[in-house]
Amino acid sequence: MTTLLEAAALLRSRKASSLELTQDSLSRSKKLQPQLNAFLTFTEDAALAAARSADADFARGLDRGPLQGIPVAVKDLFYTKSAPTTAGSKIFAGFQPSFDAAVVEKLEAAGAVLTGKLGMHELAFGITSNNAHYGAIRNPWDPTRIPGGSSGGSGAAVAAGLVFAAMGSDTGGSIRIPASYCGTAGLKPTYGLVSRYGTMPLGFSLDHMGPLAPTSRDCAAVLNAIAGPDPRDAYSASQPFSPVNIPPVPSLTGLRIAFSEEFLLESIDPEIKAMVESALRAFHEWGATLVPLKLGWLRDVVAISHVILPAEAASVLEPHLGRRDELGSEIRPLFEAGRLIPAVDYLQAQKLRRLYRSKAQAEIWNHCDILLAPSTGITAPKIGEQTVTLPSGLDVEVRAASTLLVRAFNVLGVPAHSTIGGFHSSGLPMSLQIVAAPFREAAVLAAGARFEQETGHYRNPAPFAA
Amino acid sequence: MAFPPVPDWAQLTAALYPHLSPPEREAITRIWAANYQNFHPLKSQINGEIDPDTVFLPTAPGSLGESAK
Repeated sequence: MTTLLEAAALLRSRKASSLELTQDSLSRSKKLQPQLNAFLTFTEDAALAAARSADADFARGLDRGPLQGIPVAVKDLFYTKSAPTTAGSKIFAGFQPSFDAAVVEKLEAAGAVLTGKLGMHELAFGITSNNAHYGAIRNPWDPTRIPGGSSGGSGAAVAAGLVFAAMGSDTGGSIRIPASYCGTAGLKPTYGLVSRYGTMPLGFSLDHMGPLAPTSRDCAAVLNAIAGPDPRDAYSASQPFSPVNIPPVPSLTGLRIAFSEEFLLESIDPEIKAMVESALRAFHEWGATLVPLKLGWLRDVVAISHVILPAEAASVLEPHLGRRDELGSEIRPLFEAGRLIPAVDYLQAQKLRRLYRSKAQAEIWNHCDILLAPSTGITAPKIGEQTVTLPSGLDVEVRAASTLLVRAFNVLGVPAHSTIGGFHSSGLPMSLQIVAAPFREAAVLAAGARFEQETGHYRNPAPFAA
Repeated sequence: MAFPPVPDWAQLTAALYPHLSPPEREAITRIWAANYQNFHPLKSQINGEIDPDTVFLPTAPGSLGESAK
């Protein structure tokens, strides 16, 4: 699979033009649409015009950075004035925004070529991307399986090599779960680092916008283009963003890597546990120091998320909840249950969040530079599967198993990155989650880049990739 | 610190959604109860001096009295 940065090098060496990359991207995306259903809308005319413009810029020596001329796509909850924005919902089927999302503005300013809008779990409130209105999105490693979600189209499109990067959103794992199930890299940045302006909210104090791409370095390239303060987003971090610059061979010497047998390595597929343990040993051999921690209390943070998210989601969608028949039967009760959460408990959950943020500083970040865990405790389930049975005989509910290890880091607002960690005996990808203190994106991306460099797992293409 | 008992989810669901069918109300009740099963005991950690994070800043300084167990 060609990475984003490799494609950027091809453009600069004139071995390919943006128009050629874009035509190929659109052609393959359309060809695989019946099998994968990754896209909701193609923006072909605008993409071809943007590609020609990028090529003209290259010809006259204007270089806006690594995204210039690169075909990318965005989850269909990013507002685009040139195409509808459905959020995967029937309710918003006819919604035509009058402005672009901040992220779309920034991608275009960086010269990226937007080829279309990607499918997703309805209203981003779920992890299967088995959409009641627009059909199931399928996993390029095995089309009988889910790609994860809610950014399922983003994961499928990147894993199949249809685009070099895709934007997703992550409220309870919705970037990292599809990255894990589809074997791509995916970054949930620090809360507030990337503007939410012009995105359909779900849980406004938990929503994070971020990229999925073939590698950690590619994610860094996208992050550098989209991060930074935005006065139009009330929750945008005010501090200036320092671009992430990953050295050619990121040093791990002296890096303190924490792990926790409690919670983060419990109740998961034994092969995934073995993969994480193998990664820890490898990081140690490359110079890192391992720090065992006891983080069973992260379960409490997940419980906090179970109160904050439904309440915020219900407040977002309440004006539309009267249109019950236009909501999928899976997500409708989630919103309706959210309306029942007492205001006092929502506020208590936000207070607890503050306590646990302090606890994370004291008990995690004071002891390590990064925390290593699985992204998901299972590999991609079959479409329609409600529970999966682990080799131990333990039945695990798919939604809970998919979100359990990722949700806490939305509550804490810290950067959390997923990268492919190896392959299961079933042939499906398994992924590592790399987490750090707020605004330490460089640490998680550099660790991911070193791991990818050493293992080369990202080079193994999904069966549907070029 | 003693907190009021966990509400009767089924009664509350029925009160707010009287027009829904029993299976639909049951689905909502189940979700609600699941959301709360681990949350309620956590509230014993809260004291009156802690501010909520309604506008969440991951690096913001703590409130008066903030402490982590």
